[in-house]
Amino acid sequence: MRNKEKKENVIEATIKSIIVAFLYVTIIIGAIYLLFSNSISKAISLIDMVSVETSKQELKEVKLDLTTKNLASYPEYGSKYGSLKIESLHLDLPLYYGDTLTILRYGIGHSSGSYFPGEGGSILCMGHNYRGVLKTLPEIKIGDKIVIETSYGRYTYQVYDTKVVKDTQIEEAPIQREKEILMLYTCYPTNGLGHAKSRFLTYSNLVQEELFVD
Amino acid sequence: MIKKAIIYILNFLLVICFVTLFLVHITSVTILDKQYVVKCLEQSNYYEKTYYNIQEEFKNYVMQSGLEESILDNLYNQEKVNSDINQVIDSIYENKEIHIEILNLRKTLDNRIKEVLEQNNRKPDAEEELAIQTFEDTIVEVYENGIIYAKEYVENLGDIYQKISNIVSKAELGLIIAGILLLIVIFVISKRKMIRALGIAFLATGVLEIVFKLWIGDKLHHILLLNAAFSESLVYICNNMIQTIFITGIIMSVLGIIVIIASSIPKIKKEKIAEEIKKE
Repeated sequence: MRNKEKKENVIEATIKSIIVAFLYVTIIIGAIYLLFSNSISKAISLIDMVSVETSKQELKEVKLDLTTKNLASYPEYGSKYGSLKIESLHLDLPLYYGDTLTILRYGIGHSSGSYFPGEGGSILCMGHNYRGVLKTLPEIKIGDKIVIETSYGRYTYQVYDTKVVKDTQIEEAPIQREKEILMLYTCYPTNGLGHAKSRFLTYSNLVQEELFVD
Repeated sequence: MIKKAIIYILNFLLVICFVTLFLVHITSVTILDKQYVVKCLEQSNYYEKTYYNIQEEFKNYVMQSGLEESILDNLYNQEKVNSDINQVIDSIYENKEIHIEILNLRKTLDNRIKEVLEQNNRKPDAEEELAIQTFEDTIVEVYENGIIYAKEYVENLGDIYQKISNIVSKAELGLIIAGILLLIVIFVISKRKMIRALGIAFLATGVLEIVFKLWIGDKLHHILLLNAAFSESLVYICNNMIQTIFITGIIMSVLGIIVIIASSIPKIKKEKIAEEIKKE
């Protein structure tokens, strides 16, 4: 009986000690939360900023809002959202949203600082002067047509001007919203070696718009 | 009553001492330990991924250069990448200067381009010479940045590491002394309570470590910082540390419970012996 009592006392003492330990843990967690909650939130925000989604989400369908003339949903940066065709140069190239060097390895890049086809503003696209991409772009002539086909419409542009500019002359590719103009460029000369300092730039007006309505 | 309160307060301070000591110690044996970091980089294939990353970056520039991709093949090898990365690590942990050898790389590329010009009977004009020079500069810069990322910041890390390392080792010593002093004070008040206090400190520290691991959860599984190789290695190191904390937490919790139970048992034994002597 006395032994049983002693054992019960031991269990009681152990449980009391465990409760005290958990009490201390609660106090410490509470104190950390009170004193450092701002810093912890900032740290979590930082982690969220650099976290990437790994689940493959389906690519959103890009749509044009006909009322506002803005895209209702924009393509994901780095994704292919259309194609660019120049019949006179026998070119049919994938068109990607974004203009990083990695994107340009796969086709034509669309500057994220410019408007989309159908939005009524400047569209700035570029591609490498590599065979199979825009190596033959300098052979384009005034009057040639460039067609951009997307999931929401087909847009035909007609070349009205071409020029060779320096890579620093960004004022030669102005971004505006008054008129829909497609500016397409590549490094120049296209048969040069090394890091070209010039760009061959074409300017085209929108001449035909065909919307794909559901 | 006052004695009890003092012991509870001292016990609480002992818990804080243990937790802080553990945090400081885990930092010194993981992220502040060069061998640990090198081992993690090897296990996360950082060296191989960096080699591959640089190769991929080169491809971004060769397309617009008018040159074939093969011109950049084997400009460097895995051994060179390993050696250069280790130089960067030495720079951080041993405050050494970084000297990434790039002259050979540039010379090899320059010779290859000259061969191409000769084969095609081309004599570059001044503008093309400049374009070729700029291309070579870019390729060399891509290699350097692929190893170091940002030289001016990395070179400062050596000093920062030395300062942090000093602070951490002093903090460790200070916390060990503080812990021992607290235990001595508790011992003076009550011998049995000291063992119990030790057990509670172990258990509380262990539980906090487990709670930390549960709170962090999967937050650090997929991040993108600088490039994939760097990010994956960073995630590997962080998750490794968190796993160490979790396992240590379990061990300390179990140890804490054992010590707490042990702090009650001697009372039975003494009384049992006294009873047996009485019976005799």
